[in-house]
Amino acid sequence: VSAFGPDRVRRAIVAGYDAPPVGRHDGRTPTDLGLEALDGALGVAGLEIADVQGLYLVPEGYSRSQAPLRPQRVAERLGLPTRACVEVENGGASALLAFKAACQDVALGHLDVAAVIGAQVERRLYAGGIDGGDLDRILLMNSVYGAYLAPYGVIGALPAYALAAQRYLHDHALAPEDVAELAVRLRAAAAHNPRAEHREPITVDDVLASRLVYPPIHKLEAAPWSDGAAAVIVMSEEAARRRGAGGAVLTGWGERHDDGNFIPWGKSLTRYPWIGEATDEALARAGRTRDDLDVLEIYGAFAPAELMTYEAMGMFGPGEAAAAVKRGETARINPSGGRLSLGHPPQATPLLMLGEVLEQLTGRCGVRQIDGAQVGLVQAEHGMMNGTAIAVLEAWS
Amino acid sequence: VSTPLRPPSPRKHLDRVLDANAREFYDRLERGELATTRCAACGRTDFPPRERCARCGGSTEWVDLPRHGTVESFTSQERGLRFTAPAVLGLVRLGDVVLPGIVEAPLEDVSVGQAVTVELRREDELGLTLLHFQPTPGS
Repeated sequence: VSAFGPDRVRRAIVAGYDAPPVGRHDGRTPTDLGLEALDGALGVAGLEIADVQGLYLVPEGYSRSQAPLRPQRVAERLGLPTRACVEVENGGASALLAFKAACQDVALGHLDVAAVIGAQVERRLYAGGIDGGDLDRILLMNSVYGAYLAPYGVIGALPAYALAAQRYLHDHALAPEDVAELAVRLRAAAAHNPRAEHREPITVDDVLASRLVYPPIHKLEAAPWSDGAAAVIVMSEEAARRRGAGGAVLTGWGERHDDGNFIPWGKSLTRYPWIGEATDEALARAGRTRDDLDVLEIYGAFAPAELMTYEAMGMFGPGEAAAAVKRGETARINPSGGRLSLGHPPQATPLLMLGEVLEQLTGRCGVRQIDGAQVGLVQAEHGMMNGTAIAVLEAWS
Repeated sequence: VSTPLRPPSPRKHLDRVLDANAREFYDRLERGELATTRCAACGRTDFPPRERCARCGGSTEWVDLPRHGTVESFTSQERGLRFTAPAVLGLVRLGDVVLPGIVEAPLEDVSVGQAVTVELRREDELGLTLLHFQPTPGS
């Protein structure tokens, strides 16, 4: 800390958030969409572009070739000199780790107002056909899966999740309809979220009748590959007070990265102890217990993975999450509709989750508001649950 | 540009992730050997192979793996660069470690715990020898 100067560590306040509806945004760039979110988030915090002292971004999208050095291009477009211009990448957790970087700079007194932005527009990735550059990108995506999976042609995380899911159903003798129930519940929650991509009610039969994309995962148990963007404003407590901003304060952080790249080679495919350790760490720092949490946004890109995450976080015993969902014991989890129904632009997803928790803690969720929500948690992951970052946030004014 | 652009080689990006341990693993497969590393000090076997033991930091040596194992889990690849539908992607336990490969059976005939036997097959396009798993007859 002394390297940053003599100031004491300061608390980081999440003072603003916005996101355009998740879904399809043909013809817009990730920067277009991300800056639309930034404008809205600044409005919520009562700030203007010129107040932003640091930009914390993630790379644009995953699959499409993108021009590098994005932070400085964004600064140029905004005409905004900054004290920090940062890009953070670690798969699906990237945007939450960019948020962490912003909170660290605020906490260490490097700056008072930071903007965290994530955006992705690649829904219609190959709509114009595949050219040589696209093929190069596909081969690059394949190589992400490493020396031992890539030769078998894996080009997405879904097969790894499916391998874990198959074992999960087997070990706990779960029926397909047990898992499908979660997709139905998330869809029902999304009905009240104007940002959600999928809001039409579905039934267990609909889920089981949908395409079996990677057995045992059905299409309606998989998050859509969405276009979307989100921006979050982080301020020092002192600056937030001075500017009259409200919001939520970061009170806990937990983070663990296991050594696997998609497959936890030789370890359990259904239990993820590092997610439990990160949960314990975040709650201990916040001085909170699982029972204190009024609202949680959990990553869950696929229904079986979401159930395994509930269990890994210590909320239910191994194999017990599906029954708990059916009993209605998970209403405080993913009120946004989760990844399955809110939609999933991975580069923005952790900020959409953070935003849902912020809006719950500040009473802005309308019909889907959880009454009196004071304490919230956001859990992001990368790889196939190979690593996780967890933030605890509490209402602040 | 006066000469037509060549399409990228299927190995282009893969070559960049085939580190020294992976090259040794695939070189051995090419010679018909299925092996990974074991710690000379504590005896732990690792997959993927490593130059240092992940448990005790000891130096490792290459050891042959059994050719018979059991299915840890499986799925079927709807889309992939190679082995498109209905290829079954499996994780198979061989002794102390788990390796990936293609299970040579229709999806509906594959189950967790099923006994399988390793078969090595060269993929000329990739220039690599890969693992396939045949259900063990009579099991």
